[in-house]
Amino acid sequence: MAAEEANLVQLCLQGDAEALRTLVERFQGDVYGLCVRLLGDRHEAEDVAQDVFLRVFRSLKSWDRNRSLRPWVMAIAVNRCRTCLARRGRRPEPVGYLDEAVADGRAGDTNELLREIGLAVEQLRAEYREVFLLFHERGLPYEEIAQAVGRPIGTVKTWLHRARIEVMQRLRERGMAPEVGHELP
Amino acid sequence: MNCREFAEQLHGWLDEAATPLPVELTAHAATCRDCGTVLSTAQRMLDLAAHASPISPPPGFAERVVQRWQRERAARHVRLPRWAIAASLLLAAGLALYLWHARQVDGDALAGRPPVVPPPTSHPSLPAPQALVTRQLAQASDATLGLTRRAAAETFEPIVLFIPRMPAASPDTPATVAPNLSLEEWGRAMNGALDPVTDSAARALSHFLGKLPAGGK
Repeated sequence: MAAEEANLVQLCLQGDAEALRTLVERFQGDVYGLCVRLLGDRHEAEDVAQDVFLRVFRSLKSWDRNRSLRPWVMAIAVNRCRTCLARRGRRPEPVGYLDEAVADGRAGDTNELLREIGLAVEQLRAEYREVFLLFHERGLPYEEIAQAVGRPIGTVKTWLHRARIEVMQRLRERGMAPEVGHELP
Repeated sequence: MNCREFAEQLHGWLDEAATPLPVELTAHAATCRDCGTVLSTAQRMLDLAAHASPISPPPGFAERVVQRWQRERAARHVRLPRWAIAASLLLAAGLALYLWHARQVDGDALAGRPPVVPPPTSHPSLPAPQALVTRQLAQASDATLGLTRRAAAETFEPIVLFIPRMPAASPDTPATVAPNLSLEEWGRAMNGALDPVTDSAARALSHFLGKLPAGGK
């Protein structure tokens, strides 16, 4: 994989259009998906996602061949989203989960739970939301998330833990999960 | 297993979301109603989050990125210093405005109206070489490459404050364009607009210039 990535990057550096396209197609789902979730606006997400790949192309020379390409690309995506949100100065609109659930034709109670989970995730503070989405939605391992958000693995685990507690707490407050006698994990 | 151990193990399992649920957890959850509720809520939350529909990028996304990159690279070969781009764009704007004024004077003369005298300018004898305007506009077009919609909108906004409407496309169209400004004032206004927005200003200005009628006399 590492050799294959290095080869792909080499071709990209030579300006090979097919290699550039391959690189974008390999990560576009992760990058665009993360941008949509973090920004809450598909048009803005497309702009930012395009910008992410342009930055990737500009920086390919500085990519460390000993590291995997994905966390490096995702780190650029996270940073671009942070910049975009800081400029915008507001939280994203909670649209994703609901729209998709309706489009999928899922059952009503599942739709409602999805919407509530979506709302709960959107209300998380930015760093919690980032690690929650990267771990639970994008399925990135801790090492890659740590690289993407530029924090140690221990911090990522703590944020993830707190994010889950907050999401579950909100679900409970909204009546989507029954009250329990125990503290949530 | 007691409830405290259950909570600790559950947290550990959540950290390794891809692994199967340990039987000890399910066994305890079966005997403790509260822990069972905690477990089912956590499982449901993770399941829904993990199986949220994948968000696909719009069709042609990769192609657009690659094309944008190739245009950006091509433009890099002819990249001018920022001040030169700004100067070039200001010149194009000034020339285009001059052409528009000249055309309006002709239109008024044909219609028997008293001519509108162009406002005083520091370059009263400025020529109107359409080729030069066209070249300036082409240069401006190159400068737009790589500009995002957001950057364009943000940068374009302060510039259009000086221009209530674009110049009329036809000499017969009533003069609705704004410039109650002399060319000198126009230049100062453009400079003022360019100042706070640095590098993307030149690109945004070229968006505006691209909408100006390139034709003249």
